[in-house]
Amino acid sequence: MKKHLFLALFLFCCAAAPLRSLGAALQLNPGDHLSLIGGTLADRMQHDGWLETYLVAQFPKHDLVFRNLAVAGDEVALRRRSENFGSPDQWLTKTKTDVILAFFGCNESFAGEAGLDKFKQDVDKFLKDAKTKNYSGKGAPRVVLFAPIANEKLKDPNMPDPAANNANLEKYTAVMAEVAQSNDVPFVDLFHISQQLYTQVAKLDTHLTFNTLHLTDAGDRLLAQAIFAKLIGQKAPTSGFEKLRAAVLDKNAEWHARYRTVDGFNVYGGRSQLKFPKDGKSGPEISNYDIMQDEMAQRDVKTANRDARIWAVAKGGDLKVDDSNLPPVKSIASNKPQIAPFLSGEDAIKHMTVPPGCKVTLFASEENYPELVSPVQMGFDTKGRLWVAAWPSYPELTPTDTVTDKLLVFEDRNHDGKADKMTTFLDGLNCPTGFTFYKDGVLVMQAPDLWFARDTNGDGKADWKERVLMGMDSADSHHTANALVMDPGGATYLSDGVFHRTQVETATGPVRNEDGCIYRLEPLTGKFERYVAYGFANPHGRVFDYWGNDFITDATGNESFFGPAFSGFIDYPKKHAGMKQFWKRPSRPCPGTGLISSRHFPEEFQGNFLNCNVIGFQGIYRVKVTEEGSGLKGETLGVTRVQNAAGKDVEKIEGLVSSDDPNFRPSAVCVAPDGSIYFADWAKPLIGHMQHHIRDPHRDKSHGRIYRITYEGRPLLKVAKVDGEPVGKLLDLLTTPENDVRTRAKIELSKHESPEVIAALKKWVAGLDPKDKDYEHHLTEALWVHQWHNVVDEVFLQRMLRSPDYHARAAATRVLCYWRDRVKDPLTLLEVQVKDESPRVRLEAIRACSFFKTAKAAEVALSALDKETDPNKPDYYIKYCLDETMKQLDKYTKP
Amino acid sequence: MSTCRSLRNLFLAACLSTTVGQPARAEETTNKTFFLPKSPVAAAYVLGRLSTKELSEAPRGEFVYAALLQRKGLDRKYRAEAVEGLAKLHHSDALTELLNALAVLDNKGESSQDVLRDLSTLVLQSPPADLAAKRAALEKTAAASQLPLTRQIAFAGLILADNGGDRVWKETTANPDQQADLILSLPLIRDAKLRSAFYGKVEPLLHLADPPGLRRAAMSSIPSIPGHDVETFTTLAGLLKSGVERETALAGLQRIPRGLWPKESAQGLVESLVSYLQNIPVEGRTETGPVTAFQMATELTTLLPADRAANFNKTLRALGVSVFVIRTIQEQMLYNKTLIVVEAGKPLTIVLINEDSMPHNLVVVKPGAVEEIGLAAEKMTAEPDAQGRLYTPKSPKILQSMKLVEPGHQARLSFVAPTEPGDYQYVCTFPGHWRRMVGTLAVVTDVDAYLARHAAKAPKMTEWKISDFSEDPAKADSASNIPRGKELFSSLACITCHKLGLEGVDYGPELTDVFQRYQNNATLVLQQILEPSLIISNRYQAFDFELNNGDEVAGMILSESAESLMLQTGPAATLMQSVKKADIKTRKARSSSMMPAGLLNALSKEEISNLLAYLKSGGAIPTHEHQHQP
Repeated sequence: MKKHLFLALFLFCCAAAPLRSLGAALQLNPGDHLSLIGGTLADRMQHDGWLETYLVAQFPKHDLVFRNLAVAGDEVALRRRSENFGSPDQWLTKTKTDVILAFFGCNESFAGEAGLDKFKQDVDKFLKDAKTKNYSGKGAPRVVLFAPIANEKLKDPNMPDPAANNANLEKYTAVMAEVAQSNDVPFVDLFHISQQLYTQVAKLDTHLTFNTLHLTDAGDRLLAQAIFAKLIGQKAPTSGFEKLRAAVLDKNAEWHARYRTVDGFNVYGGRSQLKFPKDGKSGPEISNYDIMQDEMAQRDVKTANRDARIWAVAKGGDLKVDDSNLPPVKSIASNKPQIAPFLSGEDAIKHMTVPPGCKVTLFASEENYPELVSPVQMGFDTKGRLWVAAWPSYPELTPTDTVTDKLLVFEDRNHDGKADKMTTFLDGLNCPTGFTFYKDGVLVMQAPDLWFARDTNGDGKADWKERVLMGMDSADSHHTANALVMDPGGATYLSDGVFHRTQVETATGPVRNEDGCIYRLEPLTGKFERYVAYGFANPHGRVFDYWGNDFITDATGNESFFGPAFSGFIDYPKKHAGMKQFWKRPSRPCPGTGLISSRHFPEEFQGNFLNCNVIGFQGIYRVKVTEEGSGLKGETLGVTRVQNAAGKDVEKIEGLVSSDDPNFRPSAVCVAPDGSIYFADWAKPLIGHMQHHIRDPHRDKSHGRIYRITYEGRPLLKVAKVDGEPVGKLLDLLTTPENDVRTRAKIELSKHESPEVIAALKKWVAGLDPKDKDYEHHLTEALWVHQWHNVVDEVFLQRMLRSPDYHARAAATRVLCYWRDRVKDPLTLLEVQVKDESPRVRLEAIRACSFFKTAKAAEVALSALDKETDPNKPDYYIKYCLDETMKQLDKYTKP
Repeated sequence: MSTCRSLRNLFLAACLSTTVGQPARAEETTNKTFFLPKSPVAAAYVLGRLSTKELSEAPRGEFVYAALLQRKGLDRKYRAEAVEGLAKLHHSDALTELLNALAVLDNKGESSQDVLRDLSTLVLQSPPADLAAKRAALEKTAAASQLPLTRQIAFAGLILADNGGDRVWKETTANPDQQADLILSLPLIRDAKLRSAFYGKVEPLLHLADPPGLRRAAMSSIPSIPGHDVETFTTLAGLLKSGVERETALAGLQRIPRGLWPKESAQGLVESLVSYLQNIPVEGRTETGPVTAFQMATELTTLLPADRAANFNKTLRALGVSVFVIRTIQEQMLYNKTLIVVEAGKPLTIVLINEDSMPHNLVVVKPGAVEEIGLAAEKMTAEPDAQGRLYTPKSPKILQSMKLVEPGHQARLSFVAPTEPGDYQYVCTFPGHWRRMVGTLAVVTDVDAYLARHAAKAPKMTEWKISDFSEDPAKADSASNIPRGKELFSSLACITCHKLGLEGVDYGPELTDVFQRYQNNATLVLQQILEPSLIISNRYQAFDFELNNGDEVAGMILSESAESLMLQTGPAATLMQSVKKADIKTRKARSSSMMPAGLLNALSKEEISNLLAYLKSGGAIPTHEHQHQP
């Protein structure tokens, strides 16, 4: 609180401080259209809106038009988009740009000294080309070139040291200044301006970026003031335009929904050309493009309507935004005219089959909670409340939708297995494909960004949010990052499906990918990298087992994989080769997965992989998981032979649950704090993105259910108190067998200061009983808590690398992989792991070798072969992972 | 966000713990020397991952020699070098090393066949005295190896060691399996005299039904015994007509040079083959045996008088199966072909190759029945029917159907087209798919006439100029369109003149590294395609020659000596021609490239970028890379 006060004071002081004025660098004319281009710095400006607000306020009669065309990760000569997005020139033409505000150099700077020449040429070409263009019809655009901002040194020990990046950024800034001058283009040196600002606020014990790279709202505000002073030659106005800024942000949100529309591959890309009969039968056809471009035209008008309000407010008045002037949108009849009627939430249970002993009850449905529609992911928080991402707008919002997507929170206060309260934590969302809890808030996907949203005043609604990661593509809305989970060590995983072109800026350079991929994000450090670079169609489902092995599912083909084998490092843009599935699934596709870890259920349920399937078999497969060589293998449970109606002997699969209701579409499943299992029913007659028009009127927008499965005759588990517990109590919870409880305990622990947690952890470890049969797992949890808090303890790691339990050794080897830059001689440690008697440990060690950049790492990985009993027939995953590791290390082994 | 440094130190200072942010840039090294682990297993693995070229250039040593002996597709000179190298290292001799290598390859199994065949030449070129000295080892190899080819090489070695077959024939008389191996070794022997000496031993076996393995071996090998072609042809033809070991007989007949086939056997043999083919169901007719029979019969008709030949050919054409390959398109829920045309009543095979990431099938239905069948399939539960097919409703409107084909797999339907002409349809009955995955099976009386009437719409032609591509024409960073580029590389016939990666013909410039050669600049590459004569490197300069005898020759000069020129006159190894300089009247360099301009005119911009992306990839499809593993 105190800090905010400082900052507010500073904002005034700074603005009042004399800035060296060079006179106006930029002349603005009435009616000018200004476009911002560049990477994350410029991309964020639309969400903070300060620079635009200042300029509009300064020129109230100019009726200026701002369009933000920036995309995280953009470079002056590299602006990747999904198919047929339109070229930069096309967009600058569409926006009739008179003035280009160009923010580049940040991503380019990671090429270091070696990239300077190319960068110089690229900027020069960009500036020269611009002079030959005429986007507005009024002549060549005026360009202002902006240097990248410096990286900020933060006190947070989890944040990187900016020195190395800044050395590069400074060189790139100098080159930009030179090229700008030779082309007679105004240049603003944000690098040195930002450094000054960082120094000034550091004195107030605060900071302007949240991750050294990207500005907070306050940072953007200060930078905007400095930019304003440079451009206009006067100090920026400081107050009195909150209403104007609100109008600017409203317009920007509309423009963002248009320029960065989700589902682009269906709006302008390849699948936009899919055509369907207009009458639903056989008449003339109408494509996705036809209708979605009508919607884009509506968004253009909505944006323009908001420009008008900005102008009115700037002039001291106001204007009620009136969207009654939107152009019409073509309509289409359903190509699936006959759909099965919906059963009530309760009646639907009668159509479900469950294993003997199991019982299904209804927890919540749209009948009681109309907001509960199309649940896509769910999870229990540390208070034991069930959060549900509701996606009524699937495939995405229309410009005129009044009901938007939400993050809902359900409570069952009397523990009767039925929801008795629902709060909307976040509203106004579009395609909230995934979320996970972190510290005192929630990370939630709002493509193209990942938000960290918190409720700071305890009313159950989000009132604080930061875009912590930008640039995740959503060219196909249901290929957008989903099924977010925390791994045992505090990292979470985002994903892309085919058609996507993601680019994310990180402290170690831009991360890019084409098509499918799974990414690993450490929220605490901001580290973000490709985790499984693989030719996925649409990964939808990640789940970690008791020892931290992950199962990864590709939805389209319902192909499930043993994660450790193909999550080694590989350089962009390469991908890993095809790998076998760990379980022969009987059918596809799969929208979500889970794992049973609950003593409420009998022994034979423990560790079962759960796989939701929505066509053919409409239910949740229950898969027994057993060890096989270095990997795990799955086997469908509940398969019986029965006689069908024709008296023929056929295979029948019971699953955890299945139904003959054609609208039953289980989409997510998880274990509750009391040990029961909850699953969501997407509840839809039409589900395919491609089989029906994007705007097929039979796409249901009003149903969704949550069910609960209990095991009759077995007591429910005592619900562990997690929220608000002291550190010691939370550590005790790490001995709980249920994965869900331990995960939530670690999320709660992440609210506490790391030194406090680690000090308590050391005491806790000392007090554990070595005779406890799960002692090695408890220790592994202690190692994972270190990882959660980004605290490296090499002595403890070494103890765990040689644990008597191979599962623990494998898990420790994984931790070593992510600590490799901070332990002494990691390859020497891996040399031991790679010859471990357990193939699982060897596999983890081979995988870890792929992250190194030396020939020595290849030697270490290869020595695993000496442990193979028959080198002509090596273990499948070891061979696969070694092949992939060597593919990556080739460039270090070959002269 | 703030931290308490003092608190942190309480615990951390005691041990090695550190809390740090991002690492310093990881240490990066490149290797200056050849990378080879010390363990033989690891070394073999590393060498196995090298390309053939890299392996052939690797610094020599025991592991590299061993790899050179076992790598498929390597020039034989490296095998010889490796044998010598190993002999020197082991203080042994070449033949010992070769026999060791045979044993290793034999142990690896079937995949070693090609290399074994290669090594057989080296073994059998050894001086007979050396072979005689290794007689015991050869006997052991002949008796104990798991692969027939290994055993045959050893038997051939024994024949050479003995300079004749009598001893080894006698030694194997008691063991028909061994004798069969011995007989099958005959084609490996280069010395015709040695082979000829076997005629008297092998010929009688053709007439003995028992043991069948021995007769089959005799039928296979006897065509390699020179001087008895007509007799052999007649005997094998007789066996074929009586249906004895038909495939072996056919294969044997095919080995006899066509010019030596006796005319008088032709008629009877064609009749026999036709009646054999008539009795094979459609789905069997595309198997190797029937295809060989079909080919043999067609070739035999050339020996017949024209009218009789025409009659047979007509019958044969009616028996021939039209094969259509239909692929699914990745992530599009479409078949790549939406029209196939077949003659009413004629057999056809549809091969469905599923390249999508979800399962599909192909069901042939009566005209207009797609919706009815699609809706019915959608209502079905995922319960396989008697044939194991899912989503296949019981309906008289379904003519043919198959099981669901998993991604990466294929299935075929072989059947006789309906006699009733009409637009039949094929459709994927996986729930929902029928709305998009539909094609027409046009059953017509006259395919040519139909195709002429329904000529595919002429593609839109654009005379592309480089100025039409103001932006990066490649957009070649996108991985997903490379497969399409690859298709275009074939369909535009680029592949018939250029090599890219492992495919294509080495005629025009190799394109694997074309992007590197053009500074990774797609515009430059495209410009060269649009204007092939822009830059012509010396090696690919075309010349027109007028010869003294009035002939004209055109081609590129591969090599030039004082007396002659070696010309490449077309895109095939056989199209090389040596021309004496003395015979040349005029020599004129062409100003234009051999490559025609306008090759891209039928393409869209998107397709051009796909083609460029494929060129940029150097022939690798990035998302499904498969490392070459010998």
